[in-house]
Amino acid sequence: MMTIEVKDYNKSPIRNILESKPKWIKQGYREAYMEAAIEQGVAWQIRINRNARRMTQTQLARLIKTKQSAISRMEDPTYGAHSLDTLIEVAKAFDCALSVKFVSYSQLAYDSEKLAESDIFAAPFKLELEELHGKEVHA
Amino acid sequence: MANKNVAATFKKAPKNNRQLIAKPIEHSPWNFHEITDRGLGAISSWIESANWSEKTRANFDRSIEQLRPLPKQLWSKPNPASKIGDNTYVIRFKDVTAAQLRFFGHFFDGHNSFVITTQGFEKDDVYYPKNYQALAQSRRIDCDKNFSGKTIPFETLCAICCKSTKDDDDRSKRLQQITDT
Repeated sequence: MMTIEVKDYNKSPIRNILESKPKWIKQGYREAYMEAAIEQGVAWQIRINRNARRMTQTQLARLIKTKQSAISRMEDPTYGAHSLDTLIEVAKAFDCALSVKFVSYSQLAYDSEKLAESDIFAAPFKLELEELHGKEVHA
Repeated sequence: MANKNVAATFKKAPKNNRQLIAKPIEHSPWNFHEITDRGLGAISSWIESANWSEKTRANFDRSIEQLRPLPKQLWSKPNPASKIGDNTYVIRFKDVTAAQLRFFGHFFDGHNSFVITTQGFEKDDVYYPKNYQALAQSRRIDCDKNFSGKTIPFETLCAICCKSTKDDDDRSKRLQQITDT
């Protein structure tokens, strides 16, 4: 049987952040918070990254072959029905990556304190290369 | 293929990739306060009496967190808040039955805070209580006249007040240590 050692977990610098989240002691609450974070967070990310790219909802809709009304729904924090396939298409339109991974609640708490636009913005790949090489990169 | 489509979309936009990116508006996170009623937090007391489900509470907490780093001009749809009057704003979230719950309040720039003063709901595009505007404005006037007397931090969402409390606790502990030795 494979075992996984949780090494140095107690030394995680973000673990202490859970002390500021007393409500999370209740499993029902922290699970509900996780769901709210996903529903609202995804909508928030789409909108920020679209605006940062100076893209209209219609332009994004065209890129992922859907309607403007669908983009508007996706950016509604109460929508909560984003499919992984759609998110992948949005990531491609943004030329950024999409990462789906399980995280500890301390990581979620830490991420929940970094919701400013600059924290949420996912740079397009070309911009990252420019920053790396110090010159413009064209397609 | 995706890059060609993006290029076509931006054929009239600047060619410099850096110029394609709009600079985010940075803002120091808002503190949250609530109006008091006989010395107690009126909003916290109401929330407790409303017996919200955990899902409703989580929706509300997350809405607040999403709003914290946003400058006032971004307190608008589709973000979970809107300006609905003279320095009067509404925070939107829903409960597990999809009922549209609302909190009304205003900004107090002197404390970099948003003060929640009135609870309500929205149905068929109508806000309740129907006199929400008058209520929110009269409470704003009271709070502006005496911010420290009429409001308290909402939970721990005030970095200024909560830090002061923490500093006081730390000082007390240090004093106790010195006394013990």
